[in-house]
Amino acid sequence: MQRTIFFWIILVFAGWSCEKEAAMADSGNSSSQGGSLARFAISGNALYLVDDYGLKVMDITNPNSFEQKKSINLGWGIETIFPYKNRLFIGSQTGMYVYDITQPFDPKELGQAHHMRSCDPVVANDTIAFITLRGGNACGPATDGVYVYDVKEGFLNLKMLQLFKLGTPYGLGLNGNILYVCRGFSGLEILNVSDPDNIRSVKNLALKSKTVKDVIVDGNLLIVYTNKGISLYDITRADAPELITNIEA
Amino acid sequence: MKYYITVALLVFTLTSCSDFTFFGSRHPSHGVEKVYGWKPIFAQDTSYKNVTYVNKAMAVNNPGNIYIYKNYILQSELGKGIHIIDKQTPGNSKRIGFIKIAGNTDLSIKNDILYANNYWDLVMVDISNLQSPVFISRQKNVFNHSGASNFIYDWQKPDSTGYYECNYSYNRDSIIIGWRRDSVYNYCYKK
Repeated sequence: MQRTIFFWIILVFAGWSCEKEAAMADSGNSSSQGGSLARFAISGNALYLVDDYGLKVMDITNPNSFEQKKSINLGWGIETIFPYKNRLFIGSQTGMYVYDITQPFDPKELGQAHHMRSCDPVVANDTIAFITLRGGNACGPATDGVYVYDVKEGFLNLKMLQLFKLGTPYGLGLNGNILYVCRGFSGLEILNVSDPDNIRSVKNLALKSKTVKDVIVDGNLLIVYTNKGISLYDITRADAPELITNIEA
Repeated sequence: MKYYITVALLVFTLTSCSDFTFFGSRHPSHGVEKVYGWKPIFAQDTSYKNVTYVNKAMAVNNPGNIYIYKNYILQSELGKGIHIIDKQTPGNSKRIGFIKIAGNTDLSIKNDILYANNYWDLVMVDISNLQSPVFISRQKNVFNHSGASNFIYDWQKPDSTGYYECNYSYNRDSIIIGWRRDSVYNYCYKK
């Protein structure tokens, strides 16, 4: 499937100590977790779903049935969803939406950031947001890269710390000070983000003839989703993933 | 020189964006009219609603999103269902089975309950025992039915190029199993 316009993925974490919590915000169960390209996300008893046009909120309190609580139209081109604490980040081809989910079944819009020109989101207690943006043709004039935002001061003061230029970024995953960024045909980029003002590329891991789409950090295991299936890497050394096996064909 | 750049930009804009208009790739230079194109053929039965388990590895053709759950990795096989991969011994990881859910594109799990889309419906499946998933319930028509989407309904386009019907309002209990030539509105165009 080709997506030639924008591509947003959002990863937010509160300081260095809370990234594990962020990675698991997708689920109330610490043993389950989705990738950064997810369109389904669970937070508490709310299941959030995005399709191309908007956000649906399902109440899953009852293990035997659903109850649809809300449907919010967001235009079009909705691509990913990322819950973090009482915030919901929704990436679309035209921008980012941020919702407050303090009332889980009644999300309240906090702000929108269109093409990151009017960044006005809030992430309470959080300090940093990483967003990948993939432009590439007349529909998407954005510069490809990892956009790093200081979200300490709230949405009205969203400050871009850095645009780390990086071609064709897709999904991403954080492992302590290391950020893995999937780059389609260009492999997996391993970035050191210990200083968010000064991201460094550690290395690029080429995955021969594969399109790298997303990752999940699972302890010492890096699960890499490619167009061929899945590749598993040992990340005992976070900045030097070693191939364990491919699960393909 | 300026003229060429303008024309090139215009052509680029029209061709590259046309896939992402609300109605899909409607030809930008035409008004709405009936043309000869592709009309969907809908299934007569509802067997696509069955959620079943296949106790063997299925081929990976069009892999989708991944999800980790206990000692397993789940991966959507777009339009078909969900691969189950045992990762307990990473070096020996392999696909061990498959949950058939037609039209599936994404999933999430909480408390041993799998939430997955079955085309535009959302289904709830008890996976306490992954090798014998139990269907619990269905919420119909959670997702938008438009055939123009570039996500859930991507495969709901004809195989061949041409205009196709995408703004239909047929029986929502049915799915498209094929296409026939007929008179359709020129809302959507498969390149």
